[in-house]
Order: sequence, then C-alpha cells, then structure tokens
Amino acid sequence: MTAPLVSVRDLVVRYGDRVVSAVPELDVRPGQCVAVVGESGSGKSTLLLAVLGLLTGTAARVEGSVLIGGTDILRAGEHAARDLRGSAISLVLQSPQGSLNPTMRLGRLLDLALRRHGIRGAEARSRTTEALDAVRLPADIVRRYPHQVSGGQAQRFAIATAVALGAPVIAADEPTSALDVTVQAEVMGVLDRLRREQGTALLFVSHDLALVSTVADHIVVMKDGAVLDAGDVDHVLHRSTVPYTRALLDAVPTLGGPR
Amino acid sequence: MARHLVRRLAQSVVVVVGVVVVSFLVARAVPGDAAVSATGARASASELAAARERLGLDQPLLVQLGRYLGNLVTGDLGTSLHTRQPVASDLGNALPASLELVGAAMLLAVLIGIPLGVLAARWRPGPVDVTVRVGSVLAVSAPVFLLALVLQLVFATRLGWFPTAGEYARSLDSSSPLTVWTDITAVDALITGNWPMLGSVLHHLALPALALAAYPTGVIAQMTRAALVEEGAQDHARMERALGFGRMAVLVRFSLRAASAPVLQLVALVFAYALVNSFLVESVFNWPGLGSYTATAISSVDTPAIAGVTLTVALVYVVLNLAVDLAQTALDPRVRLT
Amino acid sequence: MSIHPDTVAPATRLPGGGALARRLVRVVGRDTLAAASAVVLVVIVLAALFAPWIAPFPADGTLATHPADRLSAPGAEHWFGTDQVGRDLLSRVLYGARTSLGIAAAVLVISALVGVTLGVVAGFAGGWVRDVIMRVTDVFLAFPALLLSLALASILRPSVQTTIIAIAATWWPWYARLSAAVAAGVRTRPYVDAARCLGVHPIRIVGRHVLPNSLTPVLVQLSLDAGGVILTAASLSYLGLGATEPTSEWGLMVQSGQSLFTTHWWVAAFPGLAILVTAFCFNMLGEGLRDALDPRSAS
Repeated sequence: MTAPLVSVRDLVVRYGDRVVSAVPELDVRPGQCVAVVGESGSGKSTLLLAVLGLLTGTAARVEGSVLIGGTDILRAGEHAARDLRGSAISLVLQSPQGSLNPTMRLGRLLDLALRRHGIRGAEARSRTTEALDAVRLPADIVRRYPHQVSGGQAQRFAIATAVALGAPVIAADEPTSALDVTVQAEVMGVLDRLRREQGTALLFVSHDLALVSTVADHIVVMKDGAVLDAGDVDHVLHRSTVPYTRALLDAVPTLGGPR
Repeated sequence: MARHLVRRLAQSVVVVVGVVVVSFLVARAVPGDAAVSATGARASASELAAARERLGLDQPLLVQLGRYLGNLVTGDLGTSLHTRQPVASDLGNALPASLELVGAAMLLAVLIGIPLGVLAARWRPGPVDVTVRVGSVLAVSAPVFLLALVLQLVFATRLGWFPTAGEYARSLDSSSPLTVWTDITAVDALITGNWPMLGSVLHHLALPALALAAYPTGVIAQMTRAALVEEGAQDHARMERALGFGRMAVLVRFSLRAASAPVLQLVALVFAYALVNSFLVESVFNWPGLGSYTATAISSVDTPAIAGVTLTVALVYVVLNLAVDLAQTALDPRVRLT
Repeated sequence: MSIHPDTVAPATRLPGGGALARRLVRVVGRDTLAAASAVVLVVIVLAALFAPWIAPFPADGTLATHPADRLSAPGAEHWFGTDQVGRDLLSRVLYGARTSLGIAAAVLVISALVGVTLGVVAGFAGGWVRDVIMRVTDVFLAFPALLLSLALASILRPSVQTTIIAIAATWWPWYARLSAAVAAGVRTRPYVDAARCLGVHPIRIVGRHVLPNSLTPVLVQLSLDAGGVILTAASLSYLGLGATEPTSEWGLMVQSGQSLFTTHWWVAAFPGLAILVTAFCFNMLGEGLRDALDPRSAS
C-alpha cells in the first residue's frame, strides 16, 4: 500500500473548553477520494482548516498530528507550513466567486501563487496552459475578474490553481453546494477525471451523502465534532450499524434500501 | 460605467448648486448692513445708497442670487470688505500655502495611518491592536490647537529643533529666490531644484503638518484596520492563505487592494476636514494660509470673504469626492459594471 | 394557514427600552476600555452637575477676579494653578464641563430630533419626498462641520446659543441619512408589508417598527458624535466665535492661555486636557458600542 499523502492522527481542535473537531485517524492516499460527511457544525470544515495548518495562531487549540507528504504541518513552523500549502495540498471552498480576490484578474492570482512556490517564466506559462486545459477552461479566462466568470468556471479555476501548483491532494469544502445541479456534475466530473488521469487525491467535505456516495472510496461520518462512523464506501453505505449513519442514509430516498 | 459617471456627475452638480446657495446666504446674512461695513460708519445717506446700489443690495434676494451665480461663473466671488481686493485673488494668494500644509499632513497621515492599520489587523487581538486603537482614538480626540501648542513649545521653543513660526526663512528670498510655477512653495522649490528653499520649507512644515496629521492618521488607521478585518473574514483571504501566502502577505498584497475603496473615500472626506482644521494650526504657527485669512475675515465680519472660503472648501470637498469615486471605479473592477 | 416567520416582527433581534439598556451594559462590560471610558464620563457628568458644590472657588467659574493671585503655578491651594486674573483653574475647568456637556447635549438632541424626523419621513415615504430631503442632506454634508458652523457663527453674535445653533445646523444631516437608511430597510421587510396589508396606519408602523430599529444605531452615533461636537464647540470658541468671557469654556480658556504657554503652561494645558479626555472617552465608548452592536463584528 502506498504511503498516505495526508495522515491525521489523534487530531483534537478546541475553542476554549469546547471540542469542535476530533478525528482519531484519517489517511488520504494517492488517487483516493476520502469524504467527510456531516451536518453544519459537525466539525468537518474545521477539520479541513486544521489539516492545512490554518488554525495555528488563532483562538483555536490544536492537538495531534497532521502529516502532509510526511511533514507534520502542525509542528513544521510557519514557513515550512506555507511552503506545503498550495503545493502539497490545495484548497477549494464553497462560494465560487467569494473565494477569489475580487480586485484581481484570475491570471494575476495564478501567477502570484506560482511565483510564491518558485515557478515563473516559461515554466509558469506552460503550467497555466496545462492546468486550464485539464479543467476545460478557455485560455483567455486569465484576463477576467472573478465577477466576470460563472460559478462553475470559478470553481474549476480554483481546481486549476491546485493542478498548476502540482498539488497531489485537493481539499474541497462543499465545492459544489452553491452550484446548479448540472454545473455541480461538471465540477465533479473535472475532479473525477483528475483523479483518474493524474492520480490527484481528494479530501472532500460535504453534507450531501448522495453526492459523496458516487465519488468517495472512503467515508467518514461526523456529528458534533466527533467521528461516529468510518470505513470504505461499501461498508458505510450498506453494512453500517451506526444509527446516525442509518438515519442519514434513510434521508436519501435512493440509498440504503426501503424506509 | 457611463451611466454611473453621469449619475455621479449629476449628483455633484446638485450639491454644488446647493453649496453655492448656502454660501450666498452666508454672504448676505450680515448683522446690520453690508453697505455700512463697506463704506464705514460715518458715510452719508447718499454714500450708503450708492454703496447699496453698487453691491446690488437694493435688488430682490432672488435677483441677488442670480447675480451672485453669474459672477461665480466668471470667477468673481465679490470684493473683500476688509482687504478691498477681489475675494478670488485673496483666496488665490492664501490657498496654496494651506494646500501645502494640508497636503503634507495628509501625506504623513497616509504613510503612518495605513501601516498602523495593517499592523493592528495583523496582530489582532493583542497589545499591538489595542495600542493602535487607543492611539488612534487619542489622535482623533486631541484638539488640534492644543497639539500645535504642545509641539511648538516642546520642539521649537524648548528644544529648538524646529522654527516656531512662518513658512520659510525670509532671508532666502534674497539668497535663493523662488521661481513661481504653482504658488505652492514646496512644490516650486522641488521642481526648480531650489534645495535651500525646499529644506527651509520642510523644516518649517514639520511641526504644523504633524499637528494637523494627528486626526487624519487616527481615522485612516482605524478605517484601514476595519476594512482589512472585514476583507480578512472573506473566503478569498482563506483561499490565499491556502495557496501558501502568509498572513502579512495576504493583508498587504491581496486584502489591502480590496480595502482601498473605503480608505480612499475616507482620505477625501478627511482632506476637507484637515483643510478646516488647518485654520486652527495656522494661527499657532503663523502660517500664511487660508486660516489666517479666515481669522481676519471673521474678526472684521468680512462676509464675502467668509462666504468665499466656505464655498472654496466645500467645492474642494465635492471635487475630491468625485475624483475618488472615479479613481475607485478604476481600482475596483466590480464598480465598473454597476 | 401558517404564519411565515418573516411576517412576524422580530422581538429579540433589536431590543427596545429596558432590554436595550441591559444589553448595552453587558456589551460595554466586556470591553475594558469602553467600560473605563463610561466610568470616567459618569465622573465628568457628575462633576459638571455638581460644579457649584465641588469647585474649590465656585465664584471663579464666572465673574470673580483675584489680581493678587494671578498666574500662580499648580500647587496645594490651586491644584491646576490660576489664570491671568487670578481665577482658580480647577474651578473654571469644572464649570467648563457644564458648558461643554451642555452644548453637546443641546446640539445632539436638536440634531437627532430634526435628523431622525426628516430621515424617517424620507426613508418611509420614498419617491420625490426622499429625493428632496436626501439632496438637501447631501448639500449640508458637503461642508465639514466646523466650516459651516464657523460661517454661521461668524455672522451671528458669539455666544453659547450661537454655538449650539451653528453646530446643530451642520450636524442633523448625519442623523437624517442614518435613519433614512434604517427606515428604508425596514420598509421593505415582509412584516411591514404584512402590517400594511392589514391596514395598520403608517404612523403606527413608524412607531412600532421604524423608530425601535433606529434606536440602536442612533444611540451609537450619539456617543460617537459627542466627542466631535465637544471638539467643534471648543474650536469655535478658540476662534472667538463661541462662548465669551466670563463664561468658563475650555476652548476659550486654551485660547486665552495660548500666548502664555511658554511661560505659564498650565493656563492652556488643563482646559486643553479636559477637552482631550472628554472627547477621548466619548469616542472610545462610542467605538465600543458600535463594535459590540454591529452584528458583523459579533464574532
């Protein structure tokens, strides 16, 4: 079995005395799609921020370890953590245009991000072209501002930055829930193709078990900051004995058999 | 974008007309009789009547307003009752020195205030943020004339580091006379390469500009901090962090640009405030600007001059606001479409 | 038939009366600086109210002169020293608090009454009524407050009343703009539409929904503005356009001590510090209230 790209152990995030997210174990291997499912407030988005090391220096207290490509991002120090972010793990957020700086052309953002990781000149240009091609965006999108592109295009562009930076894992927080169903399928299609063609792994956070069941290899179910159920997709969908998982499945008419 | 421009211009025109009407009312609302002030208390009845006719005071108010407007268009703001000169030329003499002082103060305020706001936003919550917050509220709350007095006492009178008053050393008028281009001494000295003069002006400018800069620095620091905090809570700040940029880089290279709109708007607003506050500083440092002119106009109930000052400052404000709005359109691509 | 939640006026979202007062106390209590400022302000207000009883030399607040005691430095007998005519400066600073706070209170009450009335009418009426009121407001907002006050005060006889009129005339537009925005916002809420459909009289809608919603922002604005009004009033009298001798007024006192500043600093310094401290406390309290009550900065 290949070494995991992301390896979470005994992670506990607290605000004051309150545990907002506790994950004993979670691995993401190359080409794998790991989905974290739960309602809002379950701690799944906090988990993503902790995995990217974005909670250090905030009011949150983080314990445990998060290995990104073998380096513990929680203990690596701010500079090493910055180098990992973007190039070793990339983030896609829920609000399509909101996650892109409104005052910047998309190309400028991508260029700054590439430079941040030491990629410039011809190399930067060829990576940009390839990445935009991989997510099926026209090359001239780099001249647009975020408000001039559609939600689906904005999300695909966010994915393209991950591709251009060569990130082997994309962490995605509800990347499609602000989109129409057809656009949703289009974005999921792009992610799926990246996984098949480039082996890009996906750490996917969603409240939507139906969506997750079509793409995930491994599912983690969270509620109130705790992991209630975890296992491969087949196990969780069909053989889970955890009542909360059963309840989630029952809420999706086409899954988990008759009510 | 064109529609936005037209609408903003139309609004500004309405405001300008209103400002003119208000300043006209100021000019005409003399206690007693402007004709008396114009001719002197001992004038005979016929002299008074002549003055009244000359000043148009015998006409109905609306006709007077029409005439006032007509004169304004040709740049005629009336004649000062005190200096007996056209108000427009008086203002032309006094405004450049005021603009020099206010410009220097605003430059200081932007150069100090924005970095302070960035620091406070970066190290929030914590002692840095609290210090910037308390410091900026102090700067906003200090009466500018008190600041001017204290700075003058400490750094000019006691320590002797700076001159106590004036715009530049008068001896330079003979040793390195200034070639006048813009009437703003510092600018003229700079573009003509008159270094002794420039040095002297900056030396004289330092204290009054610092006193005047306190208020704008405080509000700019606060606004920068607030705008950056708001931008920092947006998803794009999180995204930029996830791309490997540090907190400071996200603030300076990404958020500051988006936050510049409210900050810029504020700079225009505060410029006009600083122009009025400069009246209070000028009297302490004997700066030869609009404030000294206004002080004389007030003490001699020189209503045309007061109205002229009021109108000029308000116009500066309206024009600046419009300019900022247009600059914002250029800076923030979102505005262009609305 | 079920009632849509939006058609029911929110009782908890914007508290009024006692609930508001309790909430203000709670939010200010969390912010040390704002709380400290509130305490200092209470002391200043009490000092102003009881100036005739606590001032060491009450008569010096107005007319008395003691040429023999002129310009004595701060010491045991005169904590703040004395001025050119021998008046006790501590007494005059205490009396000055009455003048400054009185001016601020009068200006703010007048501005808020005029501004909120016009603003609510504009925001609630909409159409050309709003356009006319808002354009007039824009014109007044084009003048920095001190500038227009200065122009108005210079054509009237200098006095405390002149100061109040001149500043109030330039301050109301802020309240008009603020409450117009609130009123326009409330007007489009579903529960107001519902009330309208039920035939509730517009004046009742204003009383039930618009005014309570305006209360919080207006209160915050009042606290934020009090410092500005005090500074503007002091500036006017510093320029000789406000209160006149023998009234104790801080700006006027700074002005009269200005020429002595290099030799007898205390004559101008104490009244100047009084302006600074009072304005600072109002601004700090106002900021604390704004931050605490602004839902966007709740987190």
